[in-house]
Amino acid sequence: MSKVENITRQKLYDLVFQELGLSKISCSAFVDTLFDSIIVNLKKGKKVKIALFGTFSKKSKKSRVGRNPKTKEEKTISSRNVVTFKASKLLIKKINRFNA
Amino acid sequence: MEKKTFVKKELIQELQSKYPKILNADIEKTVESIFKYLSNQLASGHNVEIRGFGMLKTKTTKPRTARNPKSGESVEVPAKRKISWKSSKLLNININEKINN
Repeated sequence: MSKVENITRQKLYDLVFQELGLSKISCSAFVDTLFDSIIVNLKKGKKVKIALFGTFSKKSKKSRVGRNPKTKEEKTISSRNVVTFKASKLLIKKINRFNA
Repeated sequence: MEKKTFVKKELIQELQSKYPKILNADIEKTVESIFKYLSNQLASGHNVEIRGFGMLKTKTTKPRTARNPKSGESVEVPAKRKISWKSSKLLNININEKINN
């Protein structure tokens, strides 16, 4: 198998460059705007559903008592929001088709 | 009541309103190819790491013997690949901030 690569924003900039042929700066702005838009809508409490890919959603976690595993000290972990991702059925199918 | 989901089409529309100079069809095509590209890369075993957003990886689960809870029969569950998601630290901070408008 080929080396595992990390697909970063840079790769997406290059892709947008191929697709739209804008200046490099505009291409990176385009990709950044896309992710910002997802984040803004998550913050509004919306689920972000990308068909054929997956759904990002915000979940609120309640506060709970946690323990520092090193010092055994008890501490309350405050309530907070987290972002979850659920892959679409198609994406799961797709990743299981390769090297099956 | 306001809609609870924000779908890909709306994402495309938001980009279209922010980029009035680019053809709408081109924006749509680009967004589609971004997600297609990401899923293809995940399928070929690569990791997706978007700074300030999060990381998507594929993980392989081990094959295991499970039991049908109803009949007690054992079933072989083959190894599978699944997606794991880790949100970036920045996103975690971001998502806990109040909206300023």
